[in-house]
Amino acid sequence: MAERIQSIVVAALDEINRTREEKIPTDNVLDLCLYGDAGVFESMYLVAFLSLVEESLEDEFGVEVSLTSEKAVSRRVSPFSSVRRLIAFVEEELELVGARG
Amino acid sequence: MRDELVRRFEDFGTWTALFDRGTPVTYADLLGRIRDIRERLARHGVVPGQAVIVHGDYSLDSVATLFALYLDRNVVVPVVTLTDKTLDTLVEHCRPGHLVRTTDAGIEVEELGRPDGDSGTDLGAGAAHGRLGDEEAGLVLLSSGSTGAPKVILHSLDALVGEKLEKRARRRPNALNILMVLMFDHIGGINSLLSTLLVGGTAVLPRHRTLDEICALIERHRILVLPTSPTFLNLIMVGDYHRTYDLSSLRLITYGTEPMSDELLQRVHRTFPGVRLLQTFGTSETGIATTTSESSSSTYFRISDANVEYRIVDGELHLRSRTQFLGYLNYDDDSLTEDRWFRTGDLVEEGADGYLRIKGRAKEVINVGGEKLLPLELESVLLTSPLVEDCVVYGKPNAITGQSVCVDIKPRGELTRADLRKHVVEFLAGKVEPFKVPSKINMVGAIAMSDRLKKVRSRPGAGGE
Repeated sequence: MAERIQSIVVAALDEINRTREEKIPTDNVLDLCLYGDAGVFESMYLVAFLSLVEESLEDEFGVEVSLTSEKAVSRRVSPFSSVRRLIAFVEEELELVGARG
Repeated sequence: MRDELVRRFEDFGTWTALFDRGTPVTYADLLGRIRDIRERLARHGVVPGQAVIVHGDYSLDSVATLFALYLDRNVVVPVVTLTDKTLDTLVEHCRPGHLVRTTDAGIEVEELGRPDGDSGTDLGAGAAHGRLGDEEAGLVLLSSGSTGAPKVILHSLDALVGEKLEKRARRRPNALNILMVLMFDHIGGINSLLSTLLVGGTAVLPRHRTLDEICALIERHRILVLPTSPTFLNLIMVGDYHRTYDLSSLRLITYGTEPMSDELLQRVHRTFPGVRLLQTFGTSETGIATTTSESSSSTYFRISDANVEYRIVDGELHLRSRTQFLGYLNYDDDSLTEDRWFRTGDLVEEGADGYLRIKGRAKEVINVGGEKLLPLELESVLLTSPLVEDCVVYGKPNAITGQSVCVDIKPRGELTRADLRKHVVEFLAGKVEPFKVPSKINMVGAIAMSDRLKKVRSRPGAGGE
């Protein structure tokens, strides 16, 4: 499942890169920090990026998950500190709602 | 004043007051029906001062019942869609004695039960309690907010009728015919009805308010005046109804109930070149104000009503009118200032010479991490895209920026969701600030319109009305 989620995340980054002058590096994507001091997104763009991911997750797994919820934001270890952690968070959320793997 | 109303109806005599299901009804017929219904209500024990629910949409019977109750100094509560919840709210706060249902087979009068020990006939204990004079007829309207219980708004029907009676009666029949597009339980609908009948005009009553029916009625009755909303006008043009039906009789289109975008107004103006376009402005609380649009192609208007004062406080329009509501029966009057200015909740911009433009509702402001946006401004830009047929912008809560901008778009032509998103992002680049670019773009088959002819802007969990 992690691989499918990763390809969704990469596709979303690619789509955003198309309209961005300063491209987000995707070569070492799992360690890419999304938000925070070393993050590639400001809050507003983070929300747009997460919306894209949510939309693709819905298409791929047939369920709605929220990546901008209180739960996501209040994690001790932020799911936005790296793509790896985001994938792990998505996996947990998908399991919770019983998505078809 | 009651005598004056009856005298006018008698004078209009054989003129046509209504077209009900295609059948003409003269003023004499209407008066006869009013008389019958007054007798019927008296037989059922309806007494002056009592609140009476009138359930039904426009028909000869509902209109006649409205006037019968006015003449008998009752409190009229028109309700088009009577749900159990609405009835509960009304029973609790208006203590209506009777319910009149207007059906195809005539009227049914039903006595409403009261809680044990409650024998009073006075209105509820809300802020408006005691504000209606003993000799005055009342009108109760419900606010159409979808969250919480609707606000029960008390008006003096005497004040509303009195204001219309100040206008001179027409000197000839068929001088004014108007299609009742707005609802029977809506301030705009009541206003149109009184404005028309008290001066001898003809009100054409629709049954279903479908676009087909409305346009067919305009064609058949050579309608001169069409009171409507921006969303409704857009649907007429998008569906090419103005080509299917002959709408050339129209002389005046008034639009209100929701803000009009410049883009849409230009399109209406091009589609109906000889028609005067006039913005109406009003609220359920303050009634409808007479306005003057800067021009038919301008969304700027001036409030030119001797009965209405206005002021702008922190960008919000405040109104005070002679015919404004007396108060709410179930809420505090927190929307009224101490000196009885009504805070409309509409954000306006003041242009040259006192012309105003509505920017949107204060509660529709989308706040993206402190940056603010009103749906209308983004909708206006999106509607200039050749790929956008209609759209609705709204905010969605999130835990990162507070709210994010979302849009539902009905595209023109076949597009995938990904294509549409790509188009919107590219189309908006450079036209609006980055925070206004929607983070979520949904493709929809139709933009929903409420029975108040407004775009449905609220979304589950999205807050707002």
